[in-house]
Amino acid sequence: MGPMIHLSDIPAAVKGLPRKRMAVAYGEDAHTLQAVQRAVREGIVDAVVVGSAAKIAEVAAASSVDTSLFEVMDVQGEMPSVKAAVKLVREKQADILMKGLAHTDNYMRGILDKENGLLPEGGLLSHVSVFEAPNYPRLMIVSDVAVVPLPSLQDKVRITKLTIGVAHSLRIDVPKVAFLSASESVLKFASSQEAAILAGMAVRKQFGNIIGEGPISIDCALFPDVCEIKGFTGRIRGDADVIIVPNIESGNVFYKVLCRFGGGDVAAMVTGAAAPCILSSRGDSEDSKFYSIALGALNA
Amino acid sequence: MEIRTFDQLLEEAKKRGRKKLAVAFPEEVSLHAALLAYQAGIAAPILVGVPDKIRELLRQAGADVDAFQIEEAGSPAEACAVAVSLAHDDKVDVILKGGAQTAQMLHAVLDKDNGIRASKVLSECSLYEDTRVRHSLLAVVDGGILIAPTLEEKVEAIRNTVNVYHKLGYENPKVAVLAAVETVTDKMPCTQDAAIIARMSERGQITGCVVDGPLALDNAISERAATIKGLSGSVVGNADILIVPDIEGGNLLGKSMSYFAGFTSAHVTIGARKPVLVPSRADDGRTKLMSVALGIVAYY
Repeated sequence: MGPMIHLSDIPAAVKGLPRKRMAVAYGEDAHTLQAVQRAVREGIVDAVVVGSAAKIAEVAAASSVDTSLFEVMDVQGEMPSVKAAVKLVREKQADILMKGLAHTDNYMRGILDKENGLLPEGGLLSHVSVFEAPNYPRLMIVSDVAVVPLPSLQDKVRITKLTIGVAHSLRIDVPKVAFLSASESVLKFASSQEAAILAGMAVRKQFGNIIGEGPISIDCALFPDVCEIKGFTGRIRGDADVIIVPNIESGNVFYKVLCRFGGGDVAAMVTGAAAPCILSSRGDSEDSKFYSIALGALNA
Repeated sequence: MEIRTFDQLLEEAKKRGRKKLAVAFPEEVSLHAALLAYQAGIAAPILVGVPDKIRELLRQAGADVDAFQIEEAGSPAEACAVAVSLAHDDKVDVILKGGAQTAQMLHAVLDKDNGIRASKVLSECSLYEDTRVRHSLLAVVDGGILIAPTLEEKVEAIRNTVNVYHKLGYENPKVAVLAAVETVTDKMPCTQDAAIIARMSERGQITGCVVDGPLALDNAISERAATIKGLSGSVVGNADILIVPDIEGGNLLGKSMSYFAGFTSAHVTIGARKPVLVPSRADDGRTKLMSVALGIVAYY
């Protein structure tokens, strides 16, 4: 089978795998419960929703969610619910973590907790998003646009490795990885030189079997016709599978612009923890939440 | 035709006719070099210093006291200034340092008003004649001037050296940026510089040559070693120019080739408008003569 090219390929692939179990941290809102319901109904995961059983029942009734589809673990309060869900993953009673109504900061705090969290010692968490855009003929995997605020070169090396792992899960055997900067020329600022170093590491196979290029600007990474106009003859010519952004600011802008203007959809998760962590927000489409859960299951 | 031996280099120098060679404050070492170049028919020495002392030195050397132009200068520093200012006025083609400090000579060369600076960086090009293994010339840059070169200085030193190689008849010399390993790691910053420089070459920011790096010495000059390491490309195993990380590396590599392998060397300081020669007391006659020949062919 060739590489996945649609987000819908992800749940399709997950359906052929042993069922994974997802712990939902503070799942007391309709958006979350509806996403869980769909994922369970479509056979992507089993779920245990952690939160107030009474509240969950109330919200489920008001939003036509069938609570018999999943298990409920009765825990009162936001942070206790996050901790209980994290504990389920730590104790291998769940394979995936999902954020419910919990605030992102609290959710991340639960994951990053040194004693009881999910981060391996010396590990790094990174956000990976997988885009399907109507005018791009393959999935586009972008990192890190949400978690690592000031990535060092070493952080970027780890972000790259984590992201390549996700690319492999999408059956992209030899991913083309673009180390983004503002230009193809190697200039004096850090992101440009770091991109050159990362590309050098890729040339020396230090990321395994990938094709790496950088520094490269987003248009040369994604559009072959731009490469032709610019006369750019690098290892990537508008056919990148993976985009490693220079920093969280530019990455976040790219992510959000693509979400709103790209006309496609996105699946996203946090990698680097002991298990995939789903971090969707209320603003995400229903499909996006569904695909994110599927992406988590695929990588669990 | 690519010059591959020092005999060919000397023949090329002879084709340029006698070049005016200013010796700044001659003593035995520099006078010997000048007389060898004179006898070989490649130089017309102009001796800059105290006239009586110069005549005495000529007598001691058994040379014709009246055969050479003498320009008066009372001290080594003044002799450097006079020699450089003659070069500045195009009355001299090659400068040879005599009994002056190297720093005094460089100071005169870099003088804003009367100096002859041309490139952003002065660098040393040392050529070694490999008569045993590859039967070719090998350049080491920089074992003499750039102590701990920055990325920018390394790039300029490459540009300087590539210009010399074009004069030696190499259309597209192969440049290896050396480190202790061929992988890129932040534990060895020179490997990161090398990766950046290699990308700059790919981007056309360094032209007229092919660059690869980081490479360990064996991968740069031995195809067998490169093959075992799984490296490919036109530079590996076939490098013409070795860019060393720092002066210690260049000095040790160069002197190892001279003293262990017995290769003859030639040295010229480049990046000024005229070649500047800084002979060492330990240089043998052939090195002295070939350094003058290299200076001439590199510039004329």
